[in-house]
Amino acid sequence: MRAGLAARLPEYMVPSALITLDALPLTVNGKLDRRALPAPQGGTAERAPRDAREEILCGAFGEALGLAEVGPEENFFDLGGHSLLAARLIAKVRNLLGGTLTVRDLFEAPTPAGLAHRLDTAGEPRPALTRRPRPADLPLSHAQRRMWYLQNLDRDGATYNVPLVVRVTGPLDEPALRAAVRAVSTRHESLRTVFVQRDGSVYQQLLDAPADAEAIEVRPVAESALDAAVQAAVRRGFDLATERPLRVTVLELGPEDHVLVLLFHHIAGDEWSMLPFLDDLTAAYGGARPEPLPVQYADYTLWQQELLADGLVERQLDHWTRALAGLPEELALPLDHPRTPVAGYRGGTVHAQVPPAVYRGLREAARATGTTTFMVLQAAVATLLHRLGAGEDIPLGAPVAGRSDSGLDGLVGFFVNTVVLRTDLSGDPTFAELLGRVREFDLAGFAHQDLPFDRLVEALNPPRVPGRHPLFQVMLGYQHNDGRAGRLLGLESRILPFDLGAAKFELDFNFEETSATEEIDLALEYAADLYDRGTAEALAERLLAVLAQVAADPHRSIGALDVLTAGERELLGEWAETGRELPAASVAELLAERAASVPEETALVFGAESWSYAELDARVDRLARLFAARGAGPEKVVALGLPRSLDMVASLFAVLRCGAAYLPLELDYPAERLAFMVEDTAPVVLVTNEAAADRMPDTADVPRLRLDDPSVVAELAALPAGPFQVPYEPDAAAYVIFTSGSTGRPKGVVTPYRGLTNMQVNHREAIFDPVVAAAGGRRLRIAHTVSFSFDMSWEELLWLVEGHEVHVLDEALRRDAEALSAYCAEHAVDVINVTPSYAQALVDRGLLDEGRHRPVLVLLGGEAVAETLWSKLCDTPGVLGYNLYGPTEYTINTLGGGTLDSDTATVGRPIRNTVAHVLDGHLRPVPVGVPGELYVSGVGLARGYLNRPGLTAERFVADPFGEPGARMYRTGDVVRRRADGLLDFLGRADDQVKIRGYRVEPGEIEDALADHQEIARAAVVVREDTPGVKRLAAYLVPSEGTLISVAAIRRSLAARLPAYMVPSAFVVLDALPLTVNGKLDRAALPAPRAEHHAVDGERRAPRYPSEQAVHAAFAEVLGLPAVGIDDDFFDLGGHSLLAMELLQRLRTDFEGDICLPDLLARPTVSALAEHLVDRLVDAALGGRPSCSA
Amino acid sequence: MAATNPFEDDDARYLVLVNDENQHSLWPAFAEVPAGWRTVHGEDTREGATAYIDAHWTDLRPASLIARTGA
Repeated sequence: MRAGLAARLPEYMVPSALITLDALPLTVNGKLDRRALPAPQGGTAERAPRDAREEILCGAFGEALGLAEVGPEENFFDLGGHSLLAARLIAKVRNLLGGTLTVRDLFEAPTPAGLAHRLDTAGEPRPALTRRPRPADLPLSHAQRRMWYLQNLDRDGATYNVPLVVRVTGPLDEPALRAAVRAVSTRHESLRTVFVQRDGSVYQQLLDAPADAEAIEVRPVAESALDAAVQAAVRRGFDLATERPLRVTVLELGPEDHVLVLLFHHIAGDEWSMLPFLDDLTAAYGGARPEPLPVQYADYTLWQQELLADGLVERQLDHWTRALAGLPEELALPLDHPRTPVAGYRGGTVHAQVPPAVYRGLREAARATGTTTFMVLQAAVATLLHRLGAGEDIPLGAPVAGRSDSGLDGLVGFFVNTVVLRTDLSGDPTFAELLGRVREFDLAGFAHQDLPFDRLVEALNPPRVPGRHPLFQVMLGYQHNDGRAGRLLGLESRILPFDLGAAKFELDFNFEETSATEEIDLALEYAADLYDRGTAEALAERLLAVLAQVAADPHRSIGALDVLTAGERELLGEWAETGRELPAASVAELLAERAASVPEETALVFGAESWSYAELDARVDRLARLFAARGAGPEKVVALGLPRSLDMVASLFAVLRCGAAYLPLELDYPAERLAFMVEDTAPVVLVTNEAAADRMPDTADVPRLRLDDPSVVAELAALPAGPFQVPYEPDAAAYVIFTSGSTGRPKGVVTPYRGLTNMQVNHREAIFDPVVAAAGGRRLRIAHTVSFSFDMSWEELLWLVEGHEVHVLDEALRRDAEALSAYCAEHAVDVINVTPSYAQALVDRGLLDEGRHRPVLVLLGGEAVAETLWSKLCDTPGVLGYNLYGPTEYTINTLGGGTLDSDTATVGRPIRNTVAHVLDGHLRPVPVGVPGELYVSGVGLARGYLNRPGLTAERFVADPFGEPGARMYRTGDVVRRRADGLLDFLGRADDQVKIRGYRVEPGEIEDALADHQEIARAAVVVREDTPGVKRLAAYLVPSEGTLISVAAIRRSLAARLPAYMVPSAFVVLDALPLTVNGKLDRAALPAPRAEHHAVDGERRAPRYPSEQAVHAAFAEVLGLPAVGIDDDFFDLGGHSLLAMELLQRLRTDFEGDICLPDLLARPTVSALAEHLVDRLVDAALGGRPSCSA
Repeated sequence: MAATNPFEDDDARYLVLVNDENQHSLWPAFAEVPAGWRTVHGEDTREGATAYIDAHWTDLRPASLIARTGA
């Protein structure tokens, strides 16, 4: 047609595109509908692009010519190109691919393939691929060697089977098929090569082609059994030493209906082998006798050796070493199950399809950015993994054909090599920008694709972990399908899916592009030992969503893309439904109501003292009147500096009954810290007693009220005990609790009343009712063990409001695991509330033993729960465990979950009227299973940090998901939502640490250190050099010309900070180690040695057997061999749990009842040894050794 | 986590938002301003934004509480 036109018309009038249609589209008026005419496809694209460069050139041609698709062999000028367009095209090509092409090159080589060839000739010279003499021992190619090694790892597994399953309709000539398989096997040596070991090496050995009889296996099969038969066929492994690596099975469904299972071992065939194989098989079946191949795989093997020997390895390695420098060791993928040392090969596959509309958008994006379909898919997969928490630096593996010489195109064999494609997603680029980065990396990578992957791994030598693929864990495969498999054997044929049940990689995204139907098929293979099927399905769904969004607009930033699935969005909505109506009453009022209903029941027990509900309530009312007379009321603070006692509880409720806020003052805290807290809150009165008064700070302008002062006792007695009430104000402050502040001083969290009322409502539904029911409906006994300085102390108080009996334990008892465990048995305690590590210590001391009273409920909080403890609670009959999570900034608890909800440790789900958001760095919800930072909102939200507006506005931020104007608190905790909606705690996003359940900001300690003149720089980190023992270590750099006295610094810190914040080791360094970015290099900080734990000066060694015994116990428990006999156990990092261990040891050695107070009073080896010997002497003289408390 | 928290990035730009309770919020400039909040300051550096908050948010009590209970 074109020739005909050219003969009649001048050249410029010959249309550049000719399109055949059944009919011209018409408008409703019967005129030609020009807009409905299809875009010209640039003639017939007779083959797909060979590689990325060819594909980019095709795209550039199309772009310049205004055509949707241009084939690699199509002529620029035939398609309407002219010299102006040519200049533009060449400029574009130089921009995209580099090089020095000129317009002249385009005139001389006017096709994409031709230009690609011109670009090539600038490359390195290569040896010619020709037939070579065969040595006696034919070695393996690099690819074969890698595959042989992998197959040996998997033994006779099917992981590296490469099946092609085709259903053919029509008369099948069985003898002709046998002959054809035999002919193809004869033609391709690779199909009859086995691998034999001789003298410690492996060699290729050729067998004859199979006889007709064994060329194929024919089996009749019923339609219903077809899937099983296909599965059995594709899953049968190969013995590479004896078996030819091609097996053909014919499943006969009917006389004209067959399924052909063409099964290769990967070592003999790759993705690019399929077309030559099918062409040859079809030709041979049709009786053709093709020319023998010019070269065989063996020739390639020898040629490759030559190619690699000539400095090419070094040159390519140089590229990869630079390109992959600093590659992350492992991708942080959202696994369902942790990696195990044994590589699992169990796999599954999920399928998905990119629809034509999206396909067209992706092609357009590729063309507009000068990239390929593969690059678009790579960028999308990297974007998805990035959004799923895998970081900003994503390495993916990709197979490259490895057929770098066109003489290899017709061969069946394993040529494929693997390259590592690294995608840089930093700085939140748009998808189009990302494509530019991908093009740059990939083109350079493809230009260095000859380096065998195993050589790359050897050279880079990344840390190897069994069960983890080196350099990358996710594979990205891509095929362009031109539909030739549709004519197998000249019969009507259709490719069937199969399920190998095996996975070669953790995730393997296999894409097949079919331009004819404008579709991309995805087969996502996943390691079933790491991923559940549902997660793999969600991955595919998320990827399709990403592709659809970037197809619609490639200029969106990747952080703005939506990766949630529809189901997930619905679930997140459901999980946010936590609303419950709240009573308009404070917990202090609820306590009064309770007292009115159960006046005679025991409310509080402290040692030998106890109060009924009526007594407690009367005391609360009187104290409330007393405090109100001293100025207590809404938005006023009352400081409570009382020992643990009945009056402490009564005073606390009395403050709330006044509508005021209480400030708990921990008696153990340094006076300086307490003084700061009092100054910061400006209380109207400081309530204390005789015993505690001298621990209180000297704050002249705050009046003191001593409850046991005779005049106060008299005043109280004179006050009426009837109900005292103020109007309920849910937004007023109920308490101020201080936590460690990262900027040098503690911060007071101000919490409103409504949060406490909400806790009561929540706990009734979530904890009280089910636990009471489990215990048979009786009133329960609760041990109160938590310091009133922490909001966790409310767990027990809420039980009190609910009408149960609360035992307040004194300081010595609550800290002594042995004694506490014994108390629980003796007093039949049903509920105990402790940190998980303390719970473990109680369990170790018999808390859950058989044959004694066991608690019904163990409440946990304050730190991560070990799985061993959780299992123990799950497995002990009649015992429930419940973990409560909540930063001080959200009233008492934010999340909670128990052993009834989960078999594994969890922080649970949001409590009533509370919503948990797990967000990424763009404040978008992350998918289920993906780590993100926890933000919480709801009625429990604190008001903020007292007198710290800037700090408050940084942490309590606008909530984009709630009611208009709502706030949310960003916790800094990293969590992951599980499929059942429960949250698992993973760690901190910042430096905050927990030492024995206490929240510590190392920055506060660093600032305290920095106040010392002699310290130029300081860093404080938490270390766990002895497993199970977390210690704070301080690293100090002296100011120029000064000496640091560690003892003086330790004393000065102890005067300012709570004991748990004073580091146990002080290491003096010349300089702090820094990373390349100038940040503190924590990993490079030296582990403190024994002398760094010493108080000061010379260390004395043990002198007597008694000291030696105590010394040995100190050294072992602390994990510090060089303890001095004058060193303080607690200064050395000893804490209450270690103290329990120490006492346990000493009890054995000294046969006595040694208690915590003994150690507290005499915390050094010498003092304790002396005391123990004294007691042994006393005992020998007739006295009974007992605790000194 | 690899990425910096959007509220902790010293190189980023920030706004200061205020709601009807006169509660203030630091807010990353890249993110859409949530309903019920208005911008009162910025864009600015993080330091500039928190300094503005320290200077202008002098009473942390919710405005409705102040109205009910008196100043």
